[in-house]
Amino acid sequence: MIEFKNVSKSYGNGTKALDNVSMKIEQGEFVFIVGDSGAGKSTLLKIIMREEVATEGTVVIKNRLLNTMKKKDIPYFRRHLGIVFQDFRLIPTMTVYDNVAFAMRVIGAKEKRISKRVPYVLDLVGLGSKADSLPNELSGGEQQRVALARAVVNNADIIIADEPTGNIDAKRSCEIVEMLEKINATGTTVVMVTHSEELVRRYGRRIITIEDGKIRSDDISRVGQKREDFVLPDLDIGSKRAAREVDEFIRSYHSDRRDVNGGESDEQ
Amino acid sequence: MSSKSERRGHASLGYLTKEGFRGIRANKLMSLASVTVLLSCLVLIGAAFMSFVNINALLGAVSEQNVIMIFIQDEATEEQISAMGREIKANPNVERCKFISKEEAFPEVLESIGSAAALFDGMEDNPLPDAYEVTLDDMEQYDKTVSELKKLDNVLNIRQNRDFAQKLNTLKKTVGSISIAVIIVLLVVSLFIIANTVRVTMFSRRLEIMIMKSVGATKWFIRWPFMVEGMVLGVIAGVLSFGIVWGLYEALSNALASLLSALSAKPVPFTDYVGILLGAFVVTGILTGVFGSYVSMNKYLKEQDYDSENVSADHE
Repeated sequence: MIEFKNVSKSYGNGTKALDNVSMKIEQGEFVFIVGDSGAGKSTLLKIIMREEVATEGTVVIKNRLLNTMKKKDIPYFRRHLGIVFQDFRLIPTMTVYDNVAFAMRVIGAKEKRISKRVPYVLDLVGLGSKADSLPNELSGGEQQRVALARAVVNNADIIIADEPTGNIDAKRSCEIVEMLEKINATGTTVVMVTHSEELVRRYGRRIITIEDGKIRSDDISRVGQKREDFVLPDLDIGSKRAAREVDEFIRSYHSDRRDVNGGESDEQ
Repeated sequence: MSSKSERRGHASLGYLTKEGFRGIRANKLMSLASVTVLLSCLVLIGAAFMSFVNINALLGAVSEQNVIMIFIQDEATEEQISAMGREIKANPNVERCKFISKEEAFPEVLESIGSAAALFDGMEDNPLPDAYEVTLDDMEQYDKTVSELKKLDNVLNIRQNRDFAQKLNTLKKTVGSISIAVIIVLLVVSLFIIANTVRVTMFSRRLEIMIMKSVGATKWFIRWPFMVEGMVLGVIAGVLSFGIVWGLYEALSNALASLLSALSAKPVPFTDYVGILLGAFVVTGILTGVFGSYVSMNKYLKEQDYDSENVSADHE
């Protein structure tokens, strides 16, 4: 599905954003890519979206070699991807419905198909009743759900979520991740980028950690597992918040449900 | 899900066009700004053009009065006179040639000298010679033509006004070059202003463009609504400025008429130029609108705006 082979990316000013990165993400996987800002996450995503081309190595996505892809083929390639941004990027003058429909319209979908598909995906993200609202009438979490609906409305094979929880509070963040899991359950590959290790450790999914443009760890063993091997949140032991976090972590580990309901910590 | 094939669907032109009109409604203020800028430039161009047309017509009217009189010797026979007329007409630079007999000329002269005409009362013989009144075509060859005409047989005398003719000629040329320069400068200025206005419009819509790119809209799909928008705004500006120029011209030409009548000339009727002006305005409007959109579009299509941080400033 997504395969990086010895990929390096340097920019004109000499900075090496990615250094010999190799990874393989199979279809239907749910992968977190974690790293601090400046670690190379954005470059990685840009290469997946074919905004940037690798300076060395090969990138193959959906059986297409991105290195040599022709410019005119890029728009058609992008239709396989659904992208969610940290800042939602909804058009403020359009209703929720039109924001989602916009993604279909601009690739030439028929209005008849749009009028069937958009309400369906809005229901999927739990915003069926907000179709006529404007983005600024919604909360941050709801806006990100609209963005999510827009990302899936064209039946993307891969959802790329770039810090989707960066602008919303912890509780809503869990909602977003759960929604991504729901989308993943239908067979769609999900790649979510974040800097928050605490958040991703709750979900028992594959985690690829990037540091200084290199892959530091690729927790490929987690694929298909739930919470068999967990790591405690990396917190300042002794602090009140840490205690609460650990508490909550253990509680969620013991529950059968994957979702964490009590994320009342208000970091982020 | 992965079995989804790539849809190289052709979007309906109707949708793209509708989208262009939606853009105008959604960005009323920017649309208004673009139309106003284009309109002002077109009105200025129209004013410059109509001034040029009028000055030209006025100079034309004056130069028509600048005729050469070829007086004929009294001894010439009727046959010689008509032979002379044919020779004058054969000159390539002669536009018109009219025979004025002494019988025709005499009462006119008497009339023009008014009360002094009484002095001629007792006179039996007509003292005037027969003459040809010649209008030249090309003022630049004035001297050459006059010397050619002088060589004809039976010419008594030629009355000419060389300085006047030449001054008029220079004036006409100067007015022509100034008008062309003014119109070119105005066109360049309008293109520049329009390109800037469109750039601002684009900037205010970079979020839309960015989303279109990220969901895989083709370049032409992104471009088309903006170009329709530019075209529609161009047509609106073209038609409006045409109306404004017409209205202003009609109002002004009344005032001009009394001024020009002193020079026995009339303002050029606007209706003579309705077709040309309307066509030119609409075409200029469309071209600048479409061209401006296209050029500014390319900037945004090339840009790697995945992480242009300001993109979200619009809605937060």
